[in-house]
Amino acid sequence: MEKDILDIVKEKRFIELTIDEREELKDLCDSEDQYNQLQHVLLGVDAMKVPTIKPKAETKQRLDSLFAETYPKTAPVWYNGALTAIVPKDKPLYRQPLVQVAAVGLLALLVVPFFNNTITGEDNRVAAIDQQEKNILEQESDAGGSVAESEDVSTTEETTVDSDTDLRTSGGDFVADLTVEMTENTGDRGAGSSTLLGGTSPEPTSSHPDGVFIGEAAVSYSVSANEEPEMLDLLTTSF
Amino acid sequence: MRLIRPQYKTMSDEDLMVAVGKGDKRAFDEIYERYSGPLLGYFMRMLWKDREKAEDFVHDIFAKIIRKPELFDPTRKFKTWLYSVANNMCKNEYKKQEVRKNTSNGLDSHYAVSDANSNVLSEVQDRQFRDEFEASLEALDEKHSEVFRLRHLDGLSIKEIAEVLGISDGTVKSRLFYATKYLAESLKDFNPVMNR
Repeated sequence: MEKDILDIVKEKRFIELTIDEREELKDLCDSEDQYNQLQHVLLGVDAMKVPTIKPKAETKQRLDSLFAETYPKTAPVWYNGALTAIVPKDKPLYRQPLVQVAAVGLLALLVVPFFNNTITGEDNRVAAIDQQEKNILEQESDAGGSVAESEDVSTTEETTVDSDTDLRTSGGDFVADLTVEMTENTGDRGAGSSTLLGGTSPEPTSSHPDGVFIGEAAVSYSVSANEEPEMLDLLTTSF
Repeated sequence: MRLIRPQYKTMSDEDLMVAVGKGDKRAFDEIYERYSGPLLGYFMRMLWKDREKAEDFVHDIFAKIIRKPELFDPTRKFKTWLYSVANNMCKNEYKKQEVRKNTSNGLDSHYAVSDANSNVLSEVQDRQFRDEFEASLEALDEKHSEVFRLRHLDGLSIKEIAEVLGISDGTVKSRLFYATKYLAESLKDFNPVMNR
């Protein structure tokens, strides 16, 4: 309730009143004595112990009957019963069956595709690896034993690395060149084909997953020693 | 279909009345809970302390709310509308009776203090004050006593009283001042607050 001047009379002493408040109370009281008297009456009225009274229960019952007559509830239909079962009004939202089912469905919609994609990706990767291996095997079978030579090359490369280190410490650049040449000796030595050292030989490539290159049969990097007598001399002296 | 239950205790009177118009029983129960007691007290004061008649009037006013909720304009304040209706009902009853009964000089037993631990002397003085107060209020003419009762016993503001009675704020204020001054003069020899 909004406060008016009479509420102020109940709260303040005469000397605490502002000029505007005294002006407003001019019609009600002229002096401090009259003001105090007024204050006492108003406080006395407020202090009267007036308990809250309630109408009888019968009054409410009559009103409830009248309300039911005025606003009759709709006759229950089968779907109303079902609706009441899945969306009961007396339960909180999170405990209603329809809401719970909807939440589970939403969760499934979000999670299941995620798992499906993960499994499919895994399968694809495995299939790709299998295909690669098949390709490699086919190539190997076409090459005819080039896989074995690639193993020789790998061991040659290893020894070459070690010998390369020793030679460099001894300070033999031409020996280093020889080492490089030897590492380039791959392919079919028995074929006798030769290419010029340092010639325009194509870069070795490989599609093998291990990275081992398998040179083409047509290209050979080996040079027979009898074609290079100088190299043969070097070989013998080094041993 | 509502998924979230409304909180009737925190709803305004106006919103509750709108819900009642749509057949919401719980909204009506809340309205009844808020105003049945104050209205019963109001009718008892206005209808010569006749409890039975006051109960009937409470039933009639709520029955009017049930049957014709559209009579209430939601843009208005419900409390003032309700007391306006109650005031009109009392005036109609006065016209029917044509004479104001004055069967009791004091407040009835419902207003008695029933605290066993209270000071007996204080209780007697309180009762004396209440008797004197009621007698002085009865001595006032109706337009002044009605304004005083609505302000100090029913707790309505000056603006609300003006709306209930259909008069201006200034008229309410002047009547209220007159009634208060009269009562202060009548009860000047009796000082219940200082005697506590």
